[in-house]
Amino acid sequence: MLSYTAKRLIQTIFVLFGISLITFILLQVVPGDPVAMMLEKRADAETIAKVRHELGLDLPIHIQYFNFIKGAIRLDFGTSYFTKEVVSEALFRCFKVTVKLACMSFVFAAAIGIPSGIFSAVKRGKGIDTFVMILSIIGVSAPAFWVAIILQIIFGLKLAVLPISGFDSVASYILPSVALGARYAGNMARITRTSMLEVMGQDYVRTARAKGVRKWSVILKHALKNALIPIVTLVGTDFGYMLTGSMLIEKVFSIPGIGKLAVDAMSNRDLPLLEGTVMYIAFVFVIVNLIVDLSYAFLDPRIRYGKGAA
Amino acid sequence: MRRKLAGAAFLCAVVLSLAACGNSSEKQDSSDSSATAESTTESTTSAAEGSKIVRVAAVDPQVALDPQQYTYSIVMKITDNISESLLMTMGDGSLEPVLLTGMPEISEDQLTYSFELLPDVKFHNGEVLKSSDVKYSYERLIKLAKMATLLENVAGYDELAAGTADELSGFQIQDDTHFTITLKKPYAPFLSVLSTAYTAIYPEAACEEAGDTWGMQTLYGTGPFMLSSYQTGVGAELVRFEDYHDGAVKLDGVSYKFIEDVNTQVLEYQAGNVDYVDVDPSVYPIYSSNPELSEEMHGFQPTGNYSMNVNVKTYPDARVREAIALSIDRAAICESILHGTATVPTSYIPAGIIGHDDTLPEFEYNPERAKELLAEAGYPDGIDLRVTVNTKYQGNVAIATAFQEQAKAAGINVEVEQVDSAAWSDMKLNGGVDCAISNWYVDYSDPESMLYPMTKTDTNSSFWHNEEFDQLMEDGIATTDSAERQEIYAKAEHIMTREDWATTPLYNETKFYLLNPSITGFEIDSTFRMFWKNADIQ
Repeated sequence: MLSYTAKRLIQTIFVLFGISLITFILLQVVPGDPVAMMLEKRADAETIAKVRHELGLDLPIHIQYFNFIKGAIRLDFGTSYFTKEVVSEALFRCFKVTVKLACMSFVFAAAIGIPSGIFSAVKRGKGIDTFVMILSIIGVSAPAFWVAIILQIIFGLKLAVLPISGFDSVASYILPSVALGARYAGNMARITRTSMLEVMGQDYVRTARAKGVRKWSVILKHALKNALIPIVTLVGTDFGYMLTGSMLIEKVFSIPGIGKLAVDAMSNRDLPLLEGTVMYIAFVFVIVNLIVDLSYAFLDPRIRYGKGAA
Repeated sequence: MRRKLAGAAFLCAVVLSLAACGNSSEKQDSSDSSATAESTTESTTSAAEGSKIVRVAAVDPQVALDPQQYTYSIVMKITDNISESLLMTMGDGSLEPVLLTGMPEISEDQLTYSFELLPDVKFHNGEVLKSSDVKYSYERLIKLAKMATLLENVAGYDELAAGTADELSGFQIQDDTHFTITLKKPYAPFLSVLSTAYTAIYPEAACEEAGDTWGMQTLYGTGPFMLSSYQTGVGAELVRFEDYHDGAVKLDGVSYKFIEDVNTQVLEYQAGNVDYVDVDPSVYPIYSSNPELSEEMHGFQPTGNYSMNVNVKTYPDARVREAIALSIDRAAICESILHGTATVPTSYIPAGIIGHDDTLPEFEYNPERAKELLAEAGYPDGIDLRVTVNTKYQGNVAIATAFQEQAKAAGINVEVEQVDSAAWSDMKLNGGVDCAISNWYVDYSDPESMLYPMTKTDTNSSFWHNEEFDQLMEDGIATTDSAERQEIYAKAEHIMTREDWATTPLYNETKFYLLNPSITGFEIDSTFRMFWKNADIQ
């Protein structure tokens, strides 16, 4: 297990290196120049050359990449061209906001999605099952920004019980968490139902029922435990997505999280900030996937990692 | 064992969630971010009961609050209440002294301007304004390059810009309150330039000490409000400056709340959480028909326009460019896409500034004539035209799409290309745009500001240059007589828009905003500058 984890962590370094290279190449290919953005009003050729030199953008591309890697190893991505804020500090500032939104959305999605999925599987074919599945389809297919606006109008403007936007109180996170979590809740409900239905048809579940074990004890102890692998895979990946921010939700609710930071960096071609943000997002996904993979061994004793593993 | 592990994991998850939520009610810790301004007074974060704080919904500038570096109007919306320039342009275009005892004296040869500063004007850090601060601010503007060319007619500009001199030789200090500025050649709009936000005066020592943090953590000016805090993505807090040279203002402060989404902005206004909000054209029809809001909605016409620029390298024949201009149904665009908030222009130079010719007819839609012109130019089967639009201005995408349909009647096959802001700026500079929809607003109330991009730079994507036009532009800045200037600029515009068809105006817009009716004395001018100095809450 330990050797497997170490191996995966070493792979992570190569993955991040590859992503950094691809990102860097893409940024050279995609049209867009931060200097052109800065000097849109009265730029003459001399001024453009001067500012490019100041930002180090006139250096050969391989030197620019080498400088970036040199800094990235020390978690120093430089400073933003536009705000002059140190990139790692900007990332941390936004991460603190995003992690709150992600945790609340995750709790909302899991608390609604997983029990609904279980309940739906248990009541398969009944009216309540159909109702839950219709709700889950709505949750999955309704655009997040539309859900957000509806929630703002109802709870923020008409009922005036929750803030319309902002992030300065617990209450202000409720609407964005629901808007962001609705889709994930729908997905979780569907996967949980499917996985549970598959497991509930297994012999050991029928045996447990035949032995007289109570219904909900069978469902939660015997069935759910064995149905967890696909659910954890989905839930883990979803949490990864939540941790990388949601541009739309953050925009609608004026929350300065990672999603907004990434989009702003991209639209300004703020290269240090953009590279830092991409590396953060890549790191989150690699780590979340690693944790999900490792969790399989805990959930299913048949899964073993390391030497001699099947 | 496994049960314990699961229990521990659950506990961790709960603690993490609670910790995450629990901290959220805390105010942003000023020590943890470099993008938070130093607080010189007690911070005010909301319209507390009894205090007079105006709450403004604004778009996040995402940059330092320093117009010398970042030329966005959303930066100036804030800084115009913090820092001041020597002069101010009034609503009628006239100039008034702000930090001066009177209007500067101008030598007979129109080259030397003598200034006298008001005595004992204080910056927000307590320092007294001196001539050296003015010199420093102008030299900083030149060294920072972005808007340096505003001062390109001052003697010594070239040397300072090139780095061969350390000082602006045309700026001579007599004493702490007296100085002169000498120009290389007569330049009529010079005093108007000195009224812009780019030429705001900063205290030399504090600005130098702040370095890159100027406009982020520190910003001092002589204005009626002091910057208390600024956090990108969050907002900016301004508090009253008690030692303001024109007497302390009535408001206790101005609180800018950064809200990106145009719908959310108006919802916050409707909920009574903000007092001022710009109404984006995309949501204008929704809210203008709301009887509760219609009386609180105000409009103004900014000095500038939306136009379509044609790249003369791709379309060198003026007849083709004229055909493109004739294939735009501007009236339909104003009515259907802009919901009647815009008007069909008669000239590129907008009404209200010298050079506007109000005798001209509206630009017409005549696809038949456009077809004839294309045939004369050797394109009897029409042409293909790639129109590039910046997705930052979603209205332009709708206009380009409408034009696509309108131009078919003239045999012009339009392809609409959507790009983001960074790609747009890059493509424009590098000649990658064949035809563009763009906007331009004056920085100062003078036709030179309106036409500058067409003569000195290639930032307007047309790459059009014309010797006669350039000469007229030179004549225009060398002349102080208004009647003569009117003739010169009207002629220059005629060459540009009705002879060479390098660019063709699309529409003149009206901007709308919602303002809490209990607020009086708010001023917004035609160059997008917003002043809360004389405002009060009834």
